Amino acid sequence: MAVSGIGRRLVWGWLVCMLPLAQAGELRVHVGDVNSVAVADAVVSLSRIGGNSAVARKAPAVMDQHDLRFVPFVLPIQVGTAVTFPNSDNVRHQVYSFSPAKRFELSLYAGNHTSSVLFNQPGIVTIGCNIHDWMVGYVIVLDTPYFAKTGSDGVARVNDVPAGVYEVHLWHPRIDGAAARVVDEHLVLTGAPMERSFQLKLGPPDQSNVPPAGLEMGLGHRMHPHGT
Amino acid sequence: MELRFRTRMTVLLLGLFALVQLSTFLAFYFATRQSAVTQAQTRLESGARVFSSLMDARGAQLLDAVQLITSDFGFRQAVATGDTPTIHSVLYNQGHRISADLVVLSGLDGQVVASLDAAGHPLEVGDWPKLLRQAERSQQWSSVSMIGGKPYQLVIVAVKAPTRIAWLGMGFALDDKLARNLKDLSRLEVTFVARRDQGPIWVRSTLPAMDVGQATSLLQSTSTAPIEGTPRLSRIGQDDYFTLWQPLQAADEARVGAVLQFSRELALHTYQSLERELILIALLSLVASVFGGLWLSRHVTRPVSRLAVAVRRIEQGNYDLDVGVDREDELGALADSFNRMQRGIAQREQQIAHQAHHDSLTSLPNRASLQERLDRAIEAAKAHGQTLAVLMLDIDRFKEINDTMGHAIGDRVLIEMGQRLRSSLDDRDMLARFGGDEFVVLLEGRSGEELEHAAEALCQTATLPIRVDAMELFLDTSLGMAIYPEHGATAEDLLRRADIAMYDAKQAHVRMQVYQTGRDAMHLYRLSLVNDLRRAIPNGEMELYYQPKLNLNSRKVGHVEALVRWNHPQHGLIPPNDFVPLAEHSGIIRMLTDWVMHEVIRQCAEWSDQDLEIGIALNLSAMDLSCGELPEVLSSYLAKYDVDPARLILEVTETAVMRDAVYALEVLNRLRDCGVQLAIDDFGTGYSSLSHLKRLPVNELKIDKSFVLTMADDSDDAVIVRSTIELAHNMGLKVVAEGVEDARTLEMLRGFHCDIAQGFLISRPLPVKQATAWLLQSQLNTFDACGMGNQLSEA
Repeated sequence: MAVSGIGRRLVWGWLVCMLPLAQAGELRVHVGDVNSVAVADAVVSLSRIGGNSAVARKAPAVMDQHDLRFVPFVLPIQVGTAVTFPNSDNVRHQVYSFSPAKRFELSLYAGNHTSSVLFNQPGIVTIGCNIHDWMVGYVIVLDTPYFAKTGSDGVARVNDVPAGVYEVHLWHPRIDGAAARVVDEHLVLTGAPMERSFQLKLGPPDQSNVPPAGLEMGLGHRMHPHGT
Repeated sequence: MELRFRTRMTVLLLGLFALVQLSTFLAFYFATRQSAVTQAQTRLESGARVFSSLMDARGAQLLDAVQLITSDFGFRQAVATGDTPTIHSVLYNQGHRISADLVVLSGLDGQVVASLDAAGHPLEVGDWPKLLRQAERSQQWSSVSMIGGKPYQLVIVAVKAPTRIAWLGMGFALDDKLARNLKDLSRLEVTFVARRDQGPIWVRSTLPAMDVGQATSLLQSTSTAPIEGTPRLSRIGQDDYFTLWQPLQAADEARVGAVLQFSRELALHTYQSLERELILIALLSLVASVFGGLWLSRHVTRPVSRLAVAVRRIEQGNYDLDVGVDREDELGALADSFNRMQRGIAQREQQIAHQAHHDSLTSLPNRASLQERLDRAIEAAKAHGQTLAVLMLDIDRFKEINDTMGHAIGDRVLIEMGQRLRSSLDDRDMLARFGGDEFVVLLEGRSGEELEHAAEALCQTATLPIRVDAMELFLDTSLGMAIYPEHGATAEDLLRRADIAMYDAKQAHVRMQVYQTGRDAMHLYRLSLVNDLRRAIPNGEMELYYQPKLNLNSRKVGHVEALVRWNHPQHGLIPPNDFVPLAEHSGIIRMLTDWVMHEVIRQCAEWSDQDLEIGIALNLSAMDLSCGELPEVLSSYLAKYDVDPARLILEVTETAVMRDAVYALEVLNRLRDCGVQLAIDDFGTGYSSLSHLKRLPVNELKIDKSFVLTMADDSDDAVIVRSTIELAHNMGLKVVAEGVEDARTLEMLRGFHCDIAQGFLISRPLPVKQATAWLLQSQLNTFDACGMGNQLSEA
């Protein structure tokens, strides 16, 4: 599945030039680690080279706090998206971020926070809870609407990507360094479904977003219970 | 020997004591040394635990502090936003709160944001990223790290918001303060040694003497031979220390650790005072034991040496002092025994000395002591020009008392005599028993007259009757006196001459005789005669002469008197008066009597063969009468020669009969029973009473010639003779008159009716040949005329 390579990119570049602009297609990206184990929560994003981006969907996003963790763990959004941080636990949380892309602090609250946080600057925003040190969440603010997150099967499906040439970025909480990695500088999409596989070298988890074992005991849910 | 014994005893005692002391001390010494090592080890181990605990506690303190900081939202915010002033203030504040020596904040890439020392000043932290690379593997990391060449106990914790955004390090320096702190807790000397690679060595110590050189060698020795666990002795400065190397987990291959040390002196300190006390006690008890040993040995040996001294003293004959060991123990008992023994010896010696100088019977001084005393007295007399007299006294015929009455009586007589003599003397005079019945008196410082008185007094006392049991004994004594310097200059001369004088007195029948000059020559002559006398009979020097006795009634000679003569080879004919006393004195008289008896009886038989029926008279000595065998011997001779006993007349002097009247009477009776006739010789010279005479079994009486010789001219004697004759006749005795030398006397005797006459008128004593001839001739004639006898005797 190792596909990255200069020769192959050159071939793909030539093919893209030859083809007229076609309808949008789906890109399926398989992300695995060096051991080819499927990697979840990897964010794949595509930046168009030469050409404007399509209209952002900008639908509000949610990062819940449930069972003393941020859910989802990784939340990719497009710039300008407002994210709400409801509290589904019966404990209070104090959500904050010191990330340069977005600094905010939601002082201690319980239940749904009335206000949402607008992420208007691309970047990776690390969300923490001042009360629960283990809680970590990532809001990946992207200036492209083409992005997807791998599931537990390690597959991310980026839909409706117009044909064109894209730069492929891949990010994961355990990649080396804070910023997303460009895994393909010249991905030509023809509108036809395409599959790519990438391997990530992952470091040890810094924060797991998993509460210490046994801590859930006695904790209930304030709001609508999520499906486990 | 005594010294050696004492020394040996002392040395033995001391040696034993010293041995015990030494072994005790050695045991103590090694035990304390071992104990000190053990103690040091314990101390060091416990110190090491304290050190570990302290380090842990400090690590925890650091961690707490760091975690406190990193969990602070404001701090995290400040870090996230790069709010450096706030960061500094927080770091200073928190660092100061726990007195951290180092606070470092760095980015994840190791870029130091802030580094402060204890005072809040910036601190060069060196290769921080290298440390971070080790810390990165965990959320929090603690170790001992070399920062700026100094060792720090360092805790590095990630600052999270919520992921890592920075690293915060906080540390305590391993410095003097910590060393002192640790020392206060563990009471050990603490030295921190640190070194990275071959860099400069870091040393902080509570020991002033600990320098880099010392530390380097210590560190090197720890690398070559690990000393963890076993305390090793190291010399630091002037002192020795038990040393324990306590390594610390260090980053960057640095060797960091604490050298824990416990002063050997301190470890031994408690023991040292104990040791000093022990040595003091040992010395004191050694001194005490020296004195004790000396005392004990003296206690034991002093009496022993006193005993030795006493024994030497006793050996030298000094018994006056006691041993002088007054104790209750065995030595005391020994000393008592010594004293008793010494007194016993003294007593016995005195006894022996007394016996040596005294006569055991009479307790008078003996011959030896007299001799000594006499020698001294002569010396004194010589020196002062004085005179002294030696008187010798004996009891006449004492032997007869012994022989006839037994020695017990004789002893009592001697004792009584001694007491009497003593009582008549002054205390200054000496009386000694010289031997037998001889007593010697020494009179000093007396004039001639006083001497005479004293001698007279002695004689008076000596002749008083002595009562023995129921008997009264009448004793005669003879006393001879010799005077210094007149009669001799030496004790020997004086004694001999006193003896001679005594002998002369006896001879002269006087009580006392002073020595007459020249008498000792006579005495010597007599002594030689006694010797010759013994050989006289065997040599045939003795010869019998016969003097006829004329029967005045029958005018015939029917008897002769046998008279013994001694033809001495040198001195010629010796009359009986000269040698018979000697024979009596020397005991030869019995032999002589025996010979005479034999010869007379033999002669009787011989004459019978010649038809001469002549009776023979012979003289018996007083001593013969004390011999009980005499009658038997006589009988045997008579039988041998078949001689009619009636022909034999035995003459005894009245004094001989008187001497031991009872026994003499018995012997006389037995003689008469033999059939012989008995005559009293020399009648009139003794003191015998007529009543006594009457009891004697005698047949005739011989009037002593002293009366007969003078009766013709002395009417008194004539009266005595006539009275005696008449008296004898009245008692049925025949009378013989001796010493008839003239016819007138013969006629007078005849007129007095005397039975027998004997004397030169009839015949001198004749040798046997002439006597035989004379007798043969006389058988033919009767004696009518006086002249006839002369004719015959001359023939």
